[in-house]
Amino acid sequence: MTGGAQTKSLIKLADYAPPELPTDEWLKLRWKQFRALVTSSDQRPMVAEDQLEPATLATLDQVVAPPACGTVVEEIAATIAAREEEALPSTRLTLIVNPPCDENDVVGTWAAQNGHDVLEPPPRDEVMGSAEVPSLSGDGLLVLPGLERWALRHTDGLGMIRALLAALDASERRVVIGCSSWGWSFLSHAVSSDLILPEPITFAPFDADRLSDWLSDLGGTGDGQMRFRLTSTGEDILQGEQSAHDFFQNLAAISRGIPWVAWHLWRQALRSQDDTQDVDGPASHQTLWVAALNEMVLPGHHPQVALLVLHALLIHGPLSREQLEQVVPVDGRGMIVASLVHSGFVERDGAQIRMRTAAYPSVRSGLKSAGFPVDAL
Amino acid sequence: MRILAAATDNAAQAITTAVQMTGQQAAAVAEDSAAASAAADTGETSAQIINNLQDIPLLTIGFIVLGTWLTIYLIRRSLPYLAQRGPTQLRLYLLGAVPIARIFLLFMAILWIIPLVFNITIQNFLVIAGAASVAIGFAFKDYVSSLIAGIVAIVERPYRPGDWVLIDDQYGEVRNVGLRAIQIVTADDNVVTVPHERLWTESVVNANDGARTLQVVVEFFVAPGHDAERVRAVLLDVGRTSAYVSYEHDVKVVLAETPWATQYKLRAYPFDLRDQFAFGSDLTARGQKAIMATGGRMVSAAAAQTYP
Repeated sequence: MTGGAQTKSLIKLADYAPPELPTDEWLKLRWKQFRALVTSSDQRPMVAEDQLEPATLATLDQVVAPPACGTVVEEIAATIAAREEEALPSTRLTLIVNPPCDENDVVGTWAAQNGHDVLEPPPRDEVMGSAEVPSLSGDGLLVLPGLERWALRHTDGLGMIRALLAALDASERRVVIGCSSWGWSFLSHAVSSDLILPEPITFAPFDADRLSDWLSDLGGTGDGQMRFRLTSTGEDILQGEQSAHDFFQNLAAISRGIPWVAWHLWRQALRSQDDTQDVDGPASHQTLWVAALNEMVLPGHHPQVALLVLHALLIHGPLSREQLEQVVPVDGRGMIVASLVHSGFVERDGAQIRMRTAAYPSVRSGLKSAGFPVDAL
Repeated sequence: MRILAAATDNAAQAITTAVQMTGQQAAAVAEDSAAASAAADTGETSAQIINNLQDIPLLTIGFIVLGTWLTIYLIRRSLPYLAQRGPTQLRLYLLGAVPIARIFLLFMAILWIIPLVFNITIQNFLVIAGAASVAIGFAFKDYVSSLIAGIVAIVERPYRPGDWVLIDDQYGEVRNVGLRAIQIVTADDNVVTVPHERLWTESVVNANDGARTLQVVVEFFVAPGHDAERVRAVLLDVGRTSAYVSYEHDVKVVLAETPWATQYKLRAYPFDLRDQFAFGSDLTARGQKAIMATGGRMVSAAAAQTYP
């Protein structure tokens, strides 16, 4: 999977350190943010630049498949296997906290691959006003992915999570719990979950080298059918040149070491050409061009209700319109959701509203600047 | 003949003596004149407090005044603008820098201009100090008192830009700390000007004291005959599930009995003090709803208070 790279173990949440931007890119980003502060709102486009043609998107879906994050799943497997082998009482409960926008649910994927019992969270509509949880009794390892989905940020939305935590504390069964980092911050404050559950662990951040290896595997360049070339220099991005390394260093820093965020940003940066024949390479090669990373920046002055909606989506994950009304009790949220969808920070998935993964770094930065409570990753 | 010669000799001696005496007297008069002239010059120099008009560089002074005013104006406009739109963590630092920068620039400008206008000597200083004492004592007492209080306020910091303070029953955000007075913008968007002089005699209640948050207290009065533990628990959840609540401070609920009801005080902190009124409104609305859901009966409508 990673060309023989050694599988890492999960690390403590407090030890997670996102990769840093090179100095020149850091200065460019700060200048961009400063310009966003001083530019008036009507002069500033708040629209994500999605420059890919629909036909190109279809091509990408064929050649750049959505990430399965096998690397992270393998790290989880290695860590849990080591703990199960020791079977210490102190590791009866294992809490894995992952960054948000985990569409593939790496904890659930690992559990399914290894045949463990999985207790799925209930539908969100059943969380309100309920304090009943299924029994945790049984043999073998139990996996609870999505701990944050057992609660809603509402006066009547905490009963179920409290009952679940009490059941976990009383049970003797070995349990692996998955939770998003923003949900964990909220639950620690609201129901003191950090007093019952152990110190959280997470995967090591993806630096430039890990990202390069991982995207190389995803791009299927092993068989030499696809080339990814930088638009700025024309160099093949996966051949280890310095400019390519700088690109992956920027990608790792902007994505905060989160692989699925990096994948979405990388995919967003890909461009196709009309003539898929690579005129400079072998006849069998197809080429995708990699443009400069275009990080979205929230405007310096934005409605508070937009930030409240984004914060709620990060804590809970995808929410329906009705659930959003319950957790963000302010006027104007309906209209602001439409504005956020139009601007590219949020997307609709059926009846649910969720944050676009590529927008996560800028949203996090905007929330932190505005003083919102943020996660630990 | 001999008598005439003797008389002539005597006359000549007298004339010579008279001439000598006249010369001595003239010398004495000359000396006296010179001494008087020197004394007059010294007096003129001492009496010249202000330099000669032609020696005062008016253009330079004009540039200094204009430059100082322009710099202060730019700082007063740019820093609050950046504070409003920039990261919340820097907001209070940027606002607090405005009065300090103003005082510093004015002080430097005065130090620069004084030697250009005034003839600095000890005698002149004593004369000016004496005159100033009279003027301050009779005409500018209150103004100078406010000025000094303003300087003390910058050092002791009972309030600073961005703080929410209560002075004279006026609660609002300190928008500007001037030389003589501060400007407070209340929740009703009224601007209240309070002289620094009040600092000597009155208490200043500061809700956040330079911090990015402050405590919001919401009161509820519940009629007797309810489950107090349940109401207390549900109010704690109201505080913890607010969209505006800070994770860095605990939410607390305290109870007290009054003759007509049980008084509950929900104490919590928003993550941004500018949201204090929205936060208080959110706690009030959801708190009332939660209390009624437990079967409790409100005795009167709760009002959100935003000062300790």
